[in-house]
Amino acid sequence: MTRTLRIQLALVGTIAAAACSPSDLLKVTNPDTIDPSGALTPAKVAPLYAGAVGDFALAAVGDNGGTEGQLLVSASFTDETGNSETFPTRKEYDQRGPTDPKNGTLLAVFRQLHRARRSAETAVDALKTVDTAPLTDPRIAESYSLAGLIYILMGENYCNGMPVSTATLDGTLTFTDPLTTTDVFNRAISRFDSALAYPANSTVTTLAKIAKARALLDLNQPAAAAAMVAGIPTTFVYNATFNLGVPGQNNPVFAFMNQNKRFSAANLDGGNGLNFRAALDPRVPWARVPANNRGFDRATPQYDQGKYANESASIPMVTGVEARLIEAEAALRVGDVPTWLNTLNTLRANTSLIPKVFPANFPAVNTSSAACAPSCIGLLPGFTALAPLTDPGDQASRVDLMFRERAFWLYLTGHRLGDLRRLVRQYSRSADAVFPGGGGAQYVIDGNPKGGIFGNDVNLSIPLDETNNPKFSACIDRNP
Amino acid sequence: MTILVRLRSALGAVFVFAALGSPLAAQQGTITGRITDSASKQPLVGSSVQIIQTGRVTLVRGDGRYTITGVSPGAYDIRTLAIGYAAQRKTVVVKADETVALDFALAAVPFTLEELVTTVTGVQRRLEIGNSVSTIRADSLTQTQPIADLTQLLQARSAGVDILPSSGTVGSGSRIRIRGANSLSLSNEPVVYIDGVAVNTSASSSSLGTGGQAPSRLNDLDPDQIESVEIVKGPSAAVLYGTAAANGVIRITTKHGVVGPPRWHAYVEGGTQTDPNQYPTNYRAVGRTITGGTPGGALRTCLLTQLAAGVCTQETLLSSNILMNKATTPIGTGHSALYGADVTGGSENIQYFVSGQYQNQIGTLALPDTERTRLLTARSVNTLPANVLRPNSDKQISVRSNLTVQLNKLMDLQTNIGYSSGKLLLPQNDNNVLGILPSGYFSFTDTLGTPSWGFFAPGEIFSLLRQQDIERFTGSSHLQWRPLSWLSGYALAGYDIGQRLETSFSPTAQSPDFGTTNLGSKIDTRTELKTYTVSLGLTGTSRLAKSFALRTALGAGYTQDLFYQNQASGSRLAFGSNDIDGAAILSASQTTVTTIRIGAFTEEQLAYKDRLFVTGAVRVDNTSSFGADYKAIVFPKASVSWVLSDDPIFPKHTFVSLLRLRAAYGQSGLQPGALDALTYLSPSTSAISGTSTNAVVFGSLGLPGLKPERSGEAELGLDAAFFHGQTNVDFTYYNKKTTDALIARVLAPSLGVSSTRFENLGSVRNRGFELTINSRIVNSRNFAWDVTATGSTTKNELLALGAGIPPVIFGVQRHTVGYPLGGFWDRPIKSWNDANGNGIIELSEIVVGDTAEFRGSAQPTRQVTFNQVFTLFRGRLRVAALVDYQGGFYQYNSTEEFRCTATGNNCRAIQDPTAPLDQQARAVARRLHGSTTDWGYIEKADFAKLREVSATYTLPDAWARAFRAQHASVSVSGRNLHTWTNYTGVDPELNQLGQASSNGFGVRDFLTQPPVRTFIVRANFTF
Repeated sequence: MTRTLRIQLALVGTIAAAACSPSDLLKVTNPDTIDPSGALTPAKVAPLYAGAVGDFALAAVGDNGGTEGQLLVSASFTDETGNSETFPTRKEYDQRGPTDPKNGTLLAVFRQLHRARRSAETAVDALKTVDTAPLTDPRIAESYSLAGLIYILMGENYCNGMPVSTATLDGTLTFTDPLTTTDVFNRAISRFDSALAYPANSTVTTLAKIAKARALLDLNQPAAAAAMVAGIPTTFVYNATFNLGVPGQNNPVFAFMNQNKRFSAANLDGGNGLNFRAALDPRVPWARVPANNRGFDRATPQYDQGKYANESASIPMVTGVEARLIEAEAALRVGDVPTWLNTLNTLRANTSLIPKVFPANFPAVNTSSAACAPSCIGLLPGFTALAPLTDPGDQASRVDLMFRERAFWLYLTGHRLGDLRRLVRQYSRSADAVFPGGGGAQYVIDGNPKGGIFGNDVNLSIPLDETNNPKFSACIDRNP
Repeated sequence: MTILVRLRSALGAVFVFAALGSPLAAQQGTITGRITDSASKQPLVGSSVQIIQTGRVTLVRGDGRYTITGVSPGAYDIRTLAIGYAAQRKTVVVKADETVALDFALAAVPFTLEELVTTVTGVQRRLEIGNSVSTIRADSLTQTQPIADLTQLLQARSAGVDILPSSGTVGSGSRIRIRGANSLSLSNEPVVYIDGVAVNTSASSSSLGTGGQAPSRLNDLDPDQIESVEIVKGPSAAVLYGTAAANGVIRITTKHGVVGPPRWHAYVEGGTQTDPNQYPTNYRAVGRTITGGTPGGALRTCLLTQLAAGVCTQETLLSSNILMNKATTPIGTGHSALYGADVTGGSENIQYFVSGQYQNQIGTLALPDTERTRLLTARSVNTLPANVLRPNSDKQISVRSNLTVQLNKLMDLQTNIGYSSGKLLLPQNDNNVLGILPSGYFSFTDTLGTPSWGFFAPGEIFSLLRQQDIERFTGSSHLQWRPLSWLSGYALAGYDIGQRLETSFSPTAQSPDFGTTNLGSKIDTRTELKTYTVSLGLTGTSRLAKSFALRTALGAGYTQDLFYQNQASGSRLAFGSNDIDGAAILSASQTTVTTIRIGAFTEEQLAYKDRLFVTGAVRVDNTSSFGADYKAIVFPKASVSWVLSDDPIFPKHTFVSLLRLRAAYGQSGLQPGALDALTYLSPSTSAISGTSTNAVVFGSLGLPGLKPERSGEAELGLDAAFFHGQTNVDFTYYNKKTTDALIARVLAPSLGVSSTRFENLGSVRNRGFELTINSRIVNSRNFAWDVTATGSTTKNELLALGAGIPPVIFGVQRHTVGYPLGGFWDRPIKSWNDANGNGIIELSEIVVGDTAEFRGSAQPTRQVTFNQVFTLFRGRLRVAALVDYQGGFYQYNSTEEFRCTATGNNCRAIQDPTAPLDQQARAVARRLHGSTTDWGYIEKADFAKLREVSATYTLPDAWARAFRAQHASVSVSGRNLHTWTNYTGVDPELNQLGQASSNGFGVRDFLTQPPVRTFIVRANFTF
């Protein structure tokens, strides 16, 4: 080997070695991700709180047409809406089973529910860590209440045996025994109690009180529930809000029903559901526009809801109206019929609570004629107020009326499934009488046979993916 | 010092040495000579000579001459290499500053192992390599066969290489599987190199919403620019490609210049596409409701099960077929046109190849005349946009310039530049309510028998513009350096960039009235796909003893892949607007993904008397996507190649003229995805009191110790030639096992984090046989008959998923231990029986199993191809036919399943009492049984296709001269001419899910445009 060549090769090796610093060569940046490590600061925590609010809306209501939330699932499961589309996974829960444990839609819904729970609880912890004046920060109480509301939805909509697990950022996974339905409602109450310990303003306090009362009602404690909401203004509203200008943040009910025609406003669903449409009740506005409108499946007649007028319409998650309804039910429980009736009629007389803004394609209120079928809105011409109710005379009928009033006031707000289960659980009704299509009625939606018969489910099951939790194998039971 | 500065320094050093190397050149000699056919005495253009001691290869010029300069004084063995000819070897002595002459006259043989194969360490002869490597000579195929893109070039031409097209939509991609699928969670596509440079070949490269079909970046490559394609099939051969090559490697060599005067080649091609498929008829039985035993009331639909239950009567069975009716069908005749030219030539110092091509393909979808009239009237216009008339087309321009320059006597520089520009229009189909085939499949028949579109009419559907423009540049510089007779080196730098512009436009008030579609929207997506490649290598040869030669190679490489995407969208457009600016709602998004891979290798090869070759190699890799706790991976390799027939112990006889045994073991890998190992949060937005607010949500849970997948493969095989090479056989058995397979472990939803986390848990095995037989059955002056048959089997099996991991289920497919990946599973229909004899299968007459059972593989497990070539009239007429069989798999006929359920309600099985009972049974099981089993719709999909037929006539030279050409030929060919199958759907070779669903495992026939029949006429001219 010549001297020249030796020098050349040595230089090659030297420069090659200098060029090769593997760790430097392999460094990349990932601008689409945020590193979760490092100390929390107020600047880091603010978007975590915003994320919790957004995750709650996704879980409780849904997104703008891709994945529905608890409200839309429970509405379809009960008698508020019927399925007017093609997805087998959505028809399964509209039909009340049998539901495939691998149902991908319900899996996505369930995952979002727990993401929202974790998101809210993470936000609470983060806020409390950085806040220098936590008692004055309404976000803490609000985040606690959001977590509590998620637990309420778990308890009202799902079977007995709800898994709740934790994962830390270092990858540690912790699993515990599933919670009974009672445990779930108690956990919700504990979240609301935590919220009430941070009374930053009347909004977050009222929110916690009404939501806690709902959980107490679920635990069959109507008196305690009524006491919790005493004095709360009827006009109070805590909304899930939406923004037309940002995709993914449109009102999901409007998106799924009015735009994408996946669900249709129901009437006598399964033969024994409430006559939501035929009642022509202004609390449940609806329209079929055009008159031969059909759903996504091009077969089911499509009836659009009118309660949420557009993509930006807010959805009331917790309201003062609910507080009054809780008080009425508590009165009915103890046999105080006059208070019960008066509470309901006071609500009915309050026209400010009736929807008055409808989707742009809805027909205008016909001022010259009372006849507007088949495309009607509930707000008939000459409407002044809902007519006062009269005592039906027997307790069973009063209970029917109580829950009918709840159904119409709380239409498409995610309360109906919890109410139907309470009818069975707390008022000894039969599931077949209460749930749409009970007793094996043909699965037909507004004359369109969807195939098969209604099932027997009275709640949602836990998806199969949860069996990756070593502490979970199946629901404890599927009782109401 | 930054990374790039360091690399520039390294490369600069190489060039410095090039200059410093010149003092050695003063004492060099030259070898020159001529290579001819021993029978015809004609020069063998395309042949090459090799100095055995240094491995240096020199191409022969157009006149058959070669010149090797810069040879150090000494004795050398020179070997000739020419396809179709027996190799020769001669010894020559080179003196300083002298030129020595050495000529060769070669004898033709049908088969030889002396063929050159490109490897990571340089060019080697096939017989030195212990693996099976397939080579496809693209040049001759593109001139005679109906080949529109690279996947058609590869289809049915190499045992063990499975091309799985997704549809007949022009521009749609295919999946490529080499020896089965290795990975559950990562891509199973092979890596592709063009002239040594890694290129982006995303199998599903689109952000357009079309319902399923997407183009592959392989479609950007012009097959007419390709000289050859080598397929490295598995880890045993792909070791030196490192952590990307477990699925195999496809090496493409583009055409390069040949010394000689300019040779021009021009071609023009025209063709048609037709859709010969039979789309199913839609049925509707109408009758009256039975009340109190009496039928009455308005006409209504009466399904078979309702008829059996006595709910209604059937009075009339209506039927229609909107897709087959000439007045309404949107299926017409497609067209294609191709124009191209290239020139090659050069001097001793510079050789060039320059080419250009224009291609235009128009698919079969066309706006029916009635729809055209309707739109013109409704829109008050005189013309309609081209995409409305023809919603599927693909235009492409490709140019290439390859230059080889001898910088000095020790150094050559090859620069290759390829550019392509394409415009693809994709139609709406597949799982898409806005699709034209879905609208046809689900059409509704009224009581007069008049069909209406199930969802929307063609006019509105075709008004949706989905366009992808691609600008692609691939360039490389390859420097080869030979400072010493025993030492050579190379430096390669390459750059592949694709600029993808995608437009999704739904015009206001002219789109389907679905959701907000008709309110107008435009989405503008701009994507950059970049791949950088740098590699360096040194190879040294030496002779240990008279009988032993040693070859040592060292190398290192760097590859960076970058995906950068910006998307802007606007919805609620003003009527007539096609601009995001005027949209009422605006949004934007951005995605950036970067992956870097570095590696180094060393390889030693010991050769004994040029008939026994033992090779060992090691490669070490690291990537940016490994977990932070994982440092590097080492891949070993060992192989043996023994030309037994050259060994004295082998008896000489005329029956077996060549026998080579080979064995190899090697490992390669697949790196995790760029973010798979990371735990991170994701930016988002939320509405707080109705105001859009920045937010952060949970992103993903990662694993710091995440490793790459490792695939180890053992390969045994033999190559044999019989009857003086008239028939030759290539047989291989392979057994490949992937360990540390990345499993997306499902995380329990109750954790509230991401749905999965990648962990190295699983293992997969693929094993099978590959057989290729080439035979010249008849060989006479006026007639030759060549037959090539290939066969392969693939047994794919998931060996392990990890403790506690249940089967991975996606729809009716699963990854289940002990079964093929992505197999079909469902509860079986055990029996059905028309017990009451009413001709209608009712729910009570079906028995369904209680648990899901394995139905079959979703990928073909056996393939056979049979290619016959007849050459007549002294080679003037060449007729070829290729039959392609694939079997051992199933297809999910989801189209028919949906037609028979409440979505369509229009299939024969639920409407017509004379429908076959087995079809009724599967419909009832799906519709009414609590299991809703799809078992009956998962059908055997074995098929054979007359894939290609061609006839090529070489015109007499006198006729060619009429075109001022030296030579001319005309070729007539056809593709997908006939299908033999028992599959009841439109075509078994469909996939609504395209190429990427469930990592490429998702398969189903769902409202997808089937493969079309193509006829092409092509004329080739050489000047």
